[in-house]
Amino acid sequence: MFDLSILIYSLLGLHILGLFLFPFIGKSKKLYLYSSTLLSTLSLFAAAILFYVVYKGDSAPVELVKWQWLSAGSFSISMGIMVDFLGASMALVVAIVACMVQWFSLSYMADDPARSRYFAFLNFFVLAMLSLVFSSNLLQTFIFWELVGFASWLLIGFWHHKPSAANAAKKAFIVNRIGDVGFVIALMVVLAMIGTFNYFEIIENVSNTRVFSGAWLLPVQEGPYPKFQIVDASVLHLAGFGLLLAVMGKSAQFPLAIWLPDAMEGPTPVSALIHAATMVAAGVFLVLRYFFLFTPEVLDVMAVIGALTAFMGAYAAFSQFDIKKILAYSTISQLGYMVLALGVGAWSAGYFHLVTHAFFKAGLFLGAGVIIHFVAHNTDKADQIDPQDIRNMGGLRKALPILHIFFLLCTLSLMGVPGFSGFLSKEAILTGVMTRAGEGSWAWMAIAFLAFLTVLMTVLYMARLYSYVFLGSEYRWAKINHSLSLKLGVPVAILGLLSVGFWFSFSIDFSHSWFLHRLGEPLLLMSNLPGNLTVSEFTSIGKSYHTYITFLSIGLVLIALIASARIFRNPRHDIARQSNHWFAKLSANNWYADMLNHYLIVLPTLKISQLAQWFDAKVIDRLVDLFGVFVVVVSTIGYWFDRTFVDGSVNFVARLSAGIGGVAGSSKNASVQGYVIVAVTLFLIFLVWIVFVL
Amino acid sequence: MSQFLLSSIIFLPLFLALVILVIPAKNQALQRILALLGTGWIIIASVIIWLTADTQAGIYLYELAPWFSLDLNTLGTLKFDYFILADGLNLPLLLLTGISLTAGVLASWKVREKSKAYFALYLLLAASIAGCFLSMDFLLFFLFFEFMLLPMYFLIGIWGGPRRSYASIKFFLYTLFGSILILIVMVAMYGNVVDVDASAAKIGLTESQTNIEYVNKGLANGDFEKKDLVFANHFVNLNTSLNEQSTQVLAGGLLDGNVENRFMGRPLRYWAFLLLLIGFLIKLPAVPFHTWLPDAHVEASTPISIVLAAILLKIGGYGLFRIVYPAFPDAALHYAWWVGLLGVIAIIYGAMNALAQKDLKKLVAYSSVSHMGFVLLGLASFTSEGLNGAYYQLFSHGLISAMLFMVAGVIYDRTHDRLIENYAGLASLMPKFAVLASIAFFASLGLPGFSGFIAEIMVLLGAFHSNSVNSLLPMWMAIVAALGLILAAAYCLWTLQRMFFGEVFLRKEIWRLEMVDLSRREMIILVPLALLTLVFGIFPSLLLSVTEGAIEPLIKQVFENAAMFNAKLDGQ
Repeated sequence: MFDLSILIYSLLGLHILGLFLFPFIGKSKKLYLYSSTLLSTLSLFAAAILFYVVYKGDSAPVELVKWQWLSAGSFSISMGIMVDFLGASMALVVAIVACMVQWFSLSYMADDPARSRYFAFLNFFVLAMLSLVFSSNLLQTFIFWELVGFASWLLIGFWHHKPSAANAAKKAFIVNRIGDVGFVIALMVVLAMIGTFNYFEIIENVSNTRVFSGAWLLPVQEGPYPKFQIVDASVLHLAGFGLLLAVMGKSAQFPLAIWLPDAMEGPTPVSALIHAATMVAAGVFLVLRYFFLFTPEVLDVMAVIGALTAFMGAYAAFSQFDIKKILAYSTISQLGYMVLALGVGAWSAGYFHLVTHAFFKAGLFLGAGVIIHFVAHNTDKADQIDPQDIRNMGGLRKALPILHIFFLLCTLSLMGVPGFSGFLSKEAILTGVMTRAGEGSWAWMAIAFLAFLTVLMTVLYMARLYSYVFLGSEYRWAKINHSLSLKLGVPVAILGLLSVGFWFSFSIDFSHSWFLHRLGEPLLLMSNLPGNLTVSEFTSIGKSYHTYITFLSIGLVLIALIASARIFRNPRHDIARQSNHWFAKLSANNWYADMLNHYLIVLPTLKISQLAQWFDAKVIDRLVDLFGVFVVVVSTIGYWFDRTFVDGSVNFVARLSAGIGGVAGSSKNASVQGYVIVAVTLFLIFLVWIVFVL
Repeated sequence: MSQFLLSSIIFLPLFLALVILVIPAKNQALQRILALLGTGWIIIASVIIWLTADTQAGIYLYELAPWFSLDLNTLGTLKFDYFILADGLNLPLLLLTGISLTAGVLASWKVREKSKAYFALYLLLAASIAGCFLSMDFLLFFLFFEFMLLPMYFLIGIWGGPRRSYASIKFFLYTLFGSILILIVMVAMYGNVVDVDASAAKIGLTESQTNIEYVNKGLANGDFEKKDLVFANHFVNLNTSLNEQSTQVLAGGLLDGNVENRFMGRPLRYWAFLLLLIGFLIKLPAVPFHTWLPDAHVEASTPISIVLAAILLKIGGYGLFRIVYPAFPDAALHYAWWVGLLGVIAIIYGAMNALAQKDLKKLVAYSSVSHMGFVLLGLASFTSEGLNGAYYQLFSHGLISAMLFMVAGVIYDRTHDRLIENYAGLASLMPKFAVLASIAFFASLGLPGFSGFIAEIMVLLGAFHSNSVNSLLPMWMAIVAALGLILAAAYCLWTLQRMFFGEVFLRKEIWRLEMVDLSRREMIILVPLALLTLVFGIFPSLLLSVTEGAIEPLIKQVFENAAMFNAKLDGQ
């Protein structure tokens, strides 16, 4: 048996090395860039071996390493590395996309003066992402969860001199922080109620608990007469909703999806790696890993959010003209599908879509990168056109023929055309949704309707993108002999080829997919979770729906393809061009989400903070000052009293004595001796008075 | 050597202050080096203690010598000692004292105006801060605690900004007011807390253990007259566990929780707790006693801001750990809800205020208020993770706030302007500075990997856990406090984005000449601080293994002693 921990160490170690080489050889850019890319290629091999070993091996998750990280009294946290098929396959996906992106970036970022820093950031991201995948501890997961967010901040704002990039980076981090607070709340519940963060111990402890008519029974004493602590089940929901909030932030779900379109300010390969394939999928991965913590109530909400996100993202993609924005909204929509799948209990379908989406979307983004690069380099600078605007493209089928093929493969996969990976995973999700809808109420039917509608819309917006970019007249590029460089072409080609369904299932249908079968079924601990769909159930319970779902969705794809062939043949028919049309306006502005966010969240928060500032300065500090003034006034009064009465009486005595002295002095027989006698006599009288009277 | 190691931490800076006074004013380089020597010694000494300490033992090192005693005849004898000690509760803060004061000296490298007085006062401040952390006798502590105000007053008042006189007098009076509250309780404690050991000796008993029990029993029965007793107030005794009780609250005395000793229906003990609490909350500072802080920071020069935020505030938190909670555990549990509430309010309110600031230094000052709220919340939770987290926050915030004030100082040094809106795109002009400022702000918002994360996550976990462990805090407090994380991200990243990223913009074009990247001296200040926040963020056990030994017994004793006092209260 191959020692897995060595593989994982080398996987992580290669990226640590990649990161730590930066301060030493970062100055010589070529050396650093190539060694970093080489290291990531090696890590791809390590990930592939790991995947193969795990695939062949035992299916149960194992904890390879565990060490105590911190302890304080009764509180202690361990860190650890765990591996199972879920983790190993996710690591392989991350490694593939990361490696492709690094090769791609070698050429794509070749002119950037800060490209060493860029590669160091990429290494940091991959390191954090892989650590997240292998983490065996919920707190540890949170740590890397935040660190991938930090990497995303670094890379979105990579061109920090661009105000829009700096703004987008900030927005992404803060919106993600909202989700992170949800994660923290879940952590608090897990520690307080379950007592541990370790994945395996959580499983053990949760399986001892019971959920029972609105109460959560936690064992406090084991043995033949177990005792339970009764907690309101809402505490358990709280953990689930907390994690859901975290997922909504990281995986860009409605209403926290607003950061993802802006994140396109980062370099395009970054969008492919972080904001399409891996980091945004971390939210989905979290649900996959800790599926047993989600109660049915939470899962229902998750399904609704996923369906809404899938629909809203697809709708917003309709009227964008920025090629990266279209792909970003498409990512939001596809992430919505994954979350929807998890919400209806189609656990394995959700993960399947994560994997297939990672490849075809990364391929699309890298392809878009090539296109943007091409347009930017082959148009007159004086025209000042936006190289990301699809209206400035057109006819690239001839100019970039090889890219066209692989971009088309990815596009067809995203559309869900039979024979492609996207078809398999989307069918699996739709089957799951319909199975849930079939036993549920009209609300579930509405969700299923949204899911099918999104199939249609996906085809439409991708066909629109394709027609704008590749079809049409090519006279503009006619003179240019553009050959795709290998470094740019090979990664897109590989990702394009991975979008073919063949890799995941030898038949056209998902129910025979080796991937789904190997993935198995989710771990369920609490008895009252809803009918979670497993592979076997897809083929048994789902059978009644399965066939007609397949036909329905193929039909939808066909209809949409035919419709788009008619619509987009002439770009003037594109509704997005009628910028005053409500449909186009709503779509182009992404449901006015940014505006709503600005007016409902950002401005009120700033207003409240100004109010707090006013309160601090005018009320609290004023009270302090008033207290000071009060003390000064009191002391002034005291001083006045002192001057007038205390000192006054002294002066009075002085004047009196002066008067007496005057009287005495005025007598004719005045002499010094006489004064002395008077003074001494008075002093004696005073002494006697003090001693005997007081 | 180790015999006078502790004393040297206090007296070497003091001695060097005197040396600075006698050397010629012109010799400024020597003054700076002496100041560096004095503060550097605090680091060296505390590292030596840390490395040689046996963390299993409660007390690492101590020096005890009789100072003076007052025989008040029928009122008993008051005993005051020169008692200094290092344990898990003050050693980390002592190290922090050294680090922040050294950073402060380096930041003062360019002080030319009256530099002799400046560095002499600075070392005086160093000595009194170190003394404050080390003293175990209440009077000695109070002496250092009060004495700190004097150099601080002058350091703000002479070398400060335009409104320095207002700020320094406000700082002085406000904290003096807090000191008076502490003084009241100290006086009350000196007449009511019996030193059992010394009393036994005075009565004429020599064998220790049995006699302690004898005296304790006698005290409980009221067998002794006041004139036979010795009153002393060593913090370390407040903290010893019940079975070897060497401190006893005088039965029937003011601080005994019985029926007669009540004011407005509450035991006087509770009032004493509240007075002490407010006294230290002013120092911390907690909302609503915090308004002296932004003013003091804005007017203070960079090094003084560093010292103020990094270490002076920590004395407030330290006082809670060292004095308030051990001395009045019953009241501490009784008011835990309110203390937790104050913590939550400080977290949210401080962060809200920070978000509204236009002045970089004020923003950092309000962020300090917000971060100190975590200390209160953690303390109120009385869980292992909560208390350790609160302490971790004291330490971590010391490093991070020093960095943040240094960042503000770097800009102020160059342009004499701190308004956020006057700068943009500094990253393009000063790339190294942008990296270090980003580290400082991310550390401040609690990114994992930095020490602030450990502190804040532990406090939040502990605050939530409290509900099921000891039912002191409701669950919503931790949840509301967690919202502070969003606000922290908002004000930190917004500031970063506005000042450092985007296109270069400077309010005055002439500033462009000034905006050169960090000098070597500035790097020497910022880089070690950044590394330390990373080290303590990645290896939390470094610090926790030390504090745990002091905090775990504290938690245990708070509950045991509180139970004892509450039993007394119920017995009546």
